[in-house]
Parts: sequence; structure tokens; C-alpha cells
Amino acid sequence: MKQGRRHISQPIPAGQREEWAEDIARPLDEGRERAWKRFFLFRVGAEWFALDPKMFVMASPPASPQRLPHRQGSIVEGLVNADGRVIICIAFDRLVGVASSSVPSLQRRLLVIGSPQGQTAFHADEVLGLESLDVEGLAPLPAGAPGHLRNCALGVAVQDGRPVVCLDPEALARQLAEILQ
Amino acid sequence: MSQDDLSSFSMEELFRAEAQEQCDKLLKGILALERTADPAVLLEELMRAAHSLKGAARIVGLDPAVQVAHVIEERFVDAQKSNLSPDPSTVDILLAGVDLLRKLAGLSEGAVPQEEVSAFVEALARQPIASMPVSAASRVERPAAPAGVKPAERHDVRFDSERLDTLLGLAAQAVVASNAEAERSLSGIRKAVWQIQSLLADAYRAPGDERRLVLLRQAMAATAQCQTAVGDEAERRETSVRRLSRLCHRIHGETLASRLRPFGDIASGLKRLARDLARQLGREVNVEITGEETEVDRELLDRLDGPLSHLIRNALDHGLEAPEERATAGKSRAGTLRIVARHHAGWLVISVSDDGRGLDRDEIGRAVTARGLATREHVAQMTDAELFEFLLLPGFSLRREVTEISGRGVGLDAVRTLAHGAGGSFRVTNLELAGTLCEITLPVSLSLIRAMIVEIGGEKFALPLTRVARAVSAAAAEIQTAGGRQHLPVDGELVEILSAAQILDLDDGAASGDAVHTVVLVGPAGKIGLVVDRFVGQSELSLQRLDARLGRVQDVDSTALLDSGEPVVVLDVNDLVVTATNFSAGSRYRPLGKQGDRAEAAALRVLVADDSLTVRELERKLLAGRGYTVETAVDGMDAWNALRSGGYDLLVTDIDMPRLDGIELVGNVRGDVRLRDLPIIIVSYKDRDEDRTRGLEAGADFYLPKSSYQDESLLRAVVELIGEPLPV
Repeated sequence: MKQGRRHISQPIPAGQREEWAEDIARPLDEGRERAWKRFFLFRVGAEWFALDPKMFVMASPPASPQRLPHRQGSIVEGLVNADGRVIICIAFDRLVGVASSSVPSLQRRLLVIGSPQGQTAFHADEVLGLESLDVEGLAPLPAGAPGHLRNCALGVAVQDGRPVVCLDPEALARQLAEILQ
Repeated sequence: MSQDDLSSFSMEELFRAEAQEQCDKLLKGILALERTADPAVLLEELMRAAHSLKGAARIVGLDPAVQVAHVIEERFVDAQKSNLSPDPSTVDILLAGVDLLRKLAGLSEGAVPQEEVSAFVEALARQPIASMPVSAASRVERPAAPAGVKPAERHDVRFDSERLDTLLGLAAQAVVASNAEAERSLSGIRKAVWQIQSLLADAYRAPGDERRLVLLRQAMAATAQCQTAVGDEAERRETSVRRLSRLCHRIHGETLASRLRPFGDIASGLKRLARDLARQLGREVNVEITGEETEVDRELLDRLDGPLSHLIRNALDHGLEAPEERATAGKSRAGTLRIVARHHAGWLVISVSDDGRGLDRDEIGRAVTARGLATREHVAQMTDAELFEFLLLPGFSLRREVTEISGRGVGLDAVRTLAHGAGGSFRVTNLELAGTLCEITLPVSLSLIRAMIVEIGGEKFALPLTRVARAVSAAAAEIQTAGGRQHLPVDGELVEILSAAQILDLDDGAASGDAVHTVVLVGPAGKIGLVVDRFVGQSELSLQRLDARLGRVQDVDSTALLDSGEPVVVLDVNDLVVTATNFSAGSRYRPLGKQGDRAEAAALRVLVADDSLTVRELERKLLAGRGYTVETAVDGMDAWNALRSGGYDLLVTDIDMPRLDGIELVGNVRGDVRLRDLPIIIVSYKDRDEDRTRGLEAGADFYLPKSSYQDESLLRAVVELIGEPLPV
């Protein structure tokens, strides 16, 4: 306690005020500001994905989807209740063609995303929430990436040393609509 | 006074909303002009409506609408000045003007060329100012409302239907959450506190030093206080949860009620139709509408417009006599057309009746025999109700000539289709004194149904109660086999039973244990029993549409949430009966309790789609004889549904099939992400080069003529595409 008070009340080193004022007065590096964008990060299987926050609707505890007739083995896992609306729950791993996780995850969440065509739910094995990513420094997907993923990805960013696939919201919605039909 | 937030609407959307409102006012007012003795007030209102519409059209730059609204407004101004009411022919033109405005505002279909606008302006200008003098009554001042007293006014707010659905969903969810909250109680905490207290009492009774006893006494007092606090808290919580639950139910109920609209919303349109038709047919008619305040499901109200128009057409064309004929028969020259909407015993009943000549039993009988629908003797024995049922058959009409107004024989059939589709009924009968009565009975809400909840393949499904004929639980020993199919005696009748899980392509839903739980449904070909895992109960469901991106999902009508918050699929009984019948006739049929064995699962599976039973069987035998597992589909749609359930290695299909032809089927498969690599062979009678090209272009791997069975080219193609069958 005493130490804390001492720390707060100690005199400011000479020149620091000027340094701060200069720092604040410096014009923003606009190019660099634009390069960073907030994304909603989640993991499915071993892959991390970044979603435009505008597409994100809600996250809730995992749910067991009610299956639809004649749709066994399809991408549609069934129907779930999202705040009173019955919406489709899909297998995200199959939508983008990545391997699903065989290990049950305690961090598993049901994510709901929205597009003009409607809302869709899917299970993510882990959700990190909103993070800033450098969108101008996106790397292309590896040559061997599945076609479905390639169709709806903007590129790969790096967050905390891990690769994250940034998703293109329009392409993702389009791919979803095509596959659901 | 607060304003509705309209910032999210574009100017065009706002204009359309206003145009709708002003056009409704114009229509209602113009129709009332003909019947009122006091047009002054009406003319003032009409002038204002036309003026507002003109101003709004000017803002969005819709000049033709400005022009039309202006001349209409001018006509009302003239009528006011001259104190004269427009004559019927002017009313005709004014009504046409309202139609034109609706079209211009994009409220109804069709583009409007400038010539049409000019023609209307000229037509209205040509009309003499007015003909009917305003009666003396109109000059009598109306008693003014007492100062400060404003009549209660219903204020409508425009609302995005999507947002209303969201609100309804949230309200339903709030009910579920409040119910769950009510189930949780503080009894666990009360019990724990009581246990602590009894332990402390035991400790106090045990020998010990003075200091420890003092501390124990204090601890017991504190626990007693805690117990009282928990008791008080439990009571407060219970009251609050009860209140919350009541509020949530009310919010849900009110949100549901906002889906209802008064029947009066379509009344003006119906009056207008009756008036125009009566003038066209040379009839005189008084239209009486009762029950304008009756609340009707918004969606149902939209659907009712067409069928009610049919009934009005029929009444004016077939029912009501010409004025001279009525006068000769001793009736008033003007007939009466009554439209009544009312709620009765939980149903919405809408009737259209007239005091015309009524239905002629002999004439209908003659039409029935002439069409070979029944013999003369049979007709003679029929009751009126039975005979009048023929009027509801598709294409049945008493008119010899088709006129612009009626006689195509589609009207009554369309009304019956609407009523049945919505789970209601329709009847036509003669009134006791004179005239005809057409009565439509419908559920009050399309979005609320009472449903039977069953479990199929471990999942809950709902069936509309009105469509379930019987629900029977019987012992497995009661199942009888006839013609290779299983049956169950129900009310002295043998009903074929099928596994609902198999029909719906869910995991095996074979009857477990000794009991067979069967839901009996009635289809066109008779009764059919669906065996479910168990009956869960009944529930009132608020329906939600299935996501449009899924397209039409076979056997699914809609979705809903159960009281527990679980989603449930509401099954489409009409579809289900057809699927069950096809399933029984197809090769995917398995008796209850028989599971597919492992060898079958490992074998190469071929789906054969052909609407000819002979061809289907021939191909099935040919391929099964070679060792493939073959299943059949009776048409393209049946095949498409089977393919989507997965697990096939090859599709062999015909081209000419009902519901979905082979080319479309191949197109669907090639366009589906999961199925696009499925090998396909088309086998068709069509063996011209252009047919072959069409089939291959659609994406088939082989195109073979039906003669290919003889020279084994079909089998060779199959082996080439998927290889020899696996050894069993």
C-alpha cells in the first residue's frame, strides 16, 4: 500500500511531459491504422478462423440440434433455439472442408452468425472473442488448402504466433446458401 | 408525443406506406360517397387524402402520380363547390384512378405507361361535374363533439414482419426462461441451513467448556436468523417469479395478437368488387358486411382475399337474379349480399350469402350425370349436402359459357383448397327462405396450432392434432402381415403400419420392446399408420417458418419451440402420407424391427429411379443379381430425397418422370457439393442424338437406351463406373 502511494506520488522525470505532449500531437499513421481490423476469433478442429464482427450475432452454450428428416449426413446438423428463433445448425468443418475435432472441448460454444439470407448456428471448439488483426499483411492460403475454404477466405493472418484464416463474409454467406439448397 | 422511428426506411418505402394508407382512404370514401346522403364531410376527407398523396408523390419525384392525384383532388373540390355528389359513372373513373395510383406507387403489379395516365386525366375531364344533388340533410350541421373529448382512435404502426417474428421469438424465450426460473427454488439452501442448525444443537448438547458453549449459542442464533432470511427471500422470490412469469406470458400473448388484423382491412376491397361486378352484370345489390372488427391472422387475411372474391363473383353471377326477375318474383329489385366474419367455438367462420334463387338441385343433378360422375338413380338418393359437394370438385361448373366473371369452375374448388390447406372446412348450402350460403371455417390463427408431440428416432416431432385420426398403443404380437406388409387392427379395420423413422430417413425407429405406438393418418388412398418411438403429449405451438435457404424439405411443414425451449419439426401430413405410400411401394421398405446388416452396409449401393414399375423391377433384378445392393425411387423427386440422405455409389435414372424429370435430377446432383461426384447412368427410351447430348451435357456419365438390358451394356457401364460388387 505504502509502496503504491510512493510510486504514484513520485516526481515525474524531467522532460516526460514534453515527450507525452509530442507523442499525442503527432499525426496518426493513417495507413497503419487502416491495416488493423477487429475480428471475431474462434477455433474449429485445429484451425483458427477470424470473422467480421458484423456477421457475429451471439454465442451461447452448446446445444443438441433437432435433426431434420431426409437430411442425414448433410452439412445441416439440425435446428437449434437461438433466443426464441428456430435456426439451422450446420457443421462448420464440413462447410469449409477442414478436419473436425475428435477431442471434446470444455470451451465449446454455439455461435450464431447472420447474413441477409438468414441466421445460421454452428459449434466452435473454442472462442477467443474480438482481436485486432493486420489485414494488409494477409498471406495467401497454402496451396493444399481445401477448395471450400479457399472460396470463402480472404487470407491468413497471424495472431499471437498462430495462423488465423480470415473469412470473407459475403463469400461465406454465398457458399452457405449454395450448400444448403 | 413520440414519433415512430422511421429513420431506417428509405423515402420510397415511406412513400409506398403513405400511398397505401391514402389509397385505402380514397377507396373507402369513394365507395361510401354513393351511399351517403351527406357527402360534404366525405368529400373533405377525400380531398385531403388526394392532396396528401399528391404532396408525397411530388417529394419522391413521381410526376405521373402527382398528375393523377391532382385531377382527383380537383374533382372533389368541384363536387364540394357545387354541393353535388359524383354519379356512378364518375365513381367508376375515380375508382380506376385509385387503381392507377396504386400501380404508380408500386403497390400493385404492372408498369404504367404515360398514355394510361393521360387517358385517365382526359376521361375524368370529360365527365360532367356531378349529377346527384346533395340532400338537405347534408347541410344540417353535425353535433360537435363535447369540447376536450377526443374520440378513441386506433393508431396503426408500421412494423417490419421480420422484426415482429424476432420479438415473438424473444417473448417465447422469456416465457421459457421464466418457467425455468420458477422451477428453481431455495429449498436446497433452506435444507442446508436447517442441517447446520441441527449439527450446532448436537454440538451444544455435547459436554464442553463454557467458552465453546457461548460461541455455539451465538452460532445457533445466527443460523436461526439466516433461516428466517432464507424463508423471507424464498417468499419474495416466489412472488417476483410469479409476476415475471405472468408478464412474460402477457408479452408473448400480446405479440402473438399483433399478428392479427381486423377483417375490415379487406372489407373495402370486397365492397368495391361487389359494386363493380353488379354494375357489369346489371344487378342491383346491397352489400352488408358484419364483423369488420373480427380479428384474423394477418397471413390468412391475405390468402382470404382471392377465395372471397370468387364467392362474391359466384353470388352475383349465379345467385342473385336480375332486378326485373326479382321484381316479377315479388322480391325487392336490389338483392342483398351478406359477408359475415365471426369467431365461433375457437374457429373463424366467414360466410358469404345472398337472397337470390339458391342452388337448383335438379340442375346440379343433371350436370353430375352429364359428366358421368354418378348415375341418375344414385343422384336421386343423395342428400342436398352430398349433391352440393360436387360443386366443390375441380373444374365443375354449372355455367355453359365461360364469362369474364365466372363459369370456369375454379372458384369453389379454390376456396375448398384454401380451407383444407389451413386445416379448416368449406360448405355450400341453400338458405331456408331464399338464397345460397357459402361458409368457410378456419383456425383463428395460422401461426398457432394444437399439436401432438411424438418421438421418432429419438427426436421430438409435432403433428397437427386436426390431422391425426387416431393414436394407438398396441402389443407387438397384434401386428399382422398381409401381402408382405405389416398391419395393425385399429377400430376393426386393418391399417398398414410403417416405421416413421425409416420414412423420414432418421436412425432406426423400429418399435422397441413389446409396445407399438402408432399414429393413424388419413390419406387419399385410405388410412396409414406411422409407428413412432413414443407419444410425448399435446402442446400449443407457435409456428415458425423453416429457413428459406433449405428450400422445400420433404415432409416438413414448419418449426416451433416446445415449452421447454427445445426446437421441434412440425410435420406436413399431406406430404407424409405420400412419402409413406411411396415408401411402402419402394424397395427401401423394411419391416419393423429389421435392421440393415453389416454386409449390406458395406456393399455398393445403387439407386434406380424410374416411374415405370416394370422397368424399375427389371433394373433392380439385373443389378441385384450381379451382387449390388439396389434401392428404387418412384420418380425424380423421390430419388432426389433418397440421394440427399446419402450413402449411394451410383444413380441409374430414367428421363421422363413426374415431379422432377431425369435431366433436372442430374442437374441437381451435379450442383450439390456433396453429390456432385456421384456416377450417373441415364437409361431412356429416347435414343436420338440430341437426347443423348442433352443427358450428357446435364452431367450423366453414360446415356444408354432401354434396350441395354439385353446386351449387358448397362452392367458393363456400372462395373466401369463403380467396379464389381464387393464380396459378401
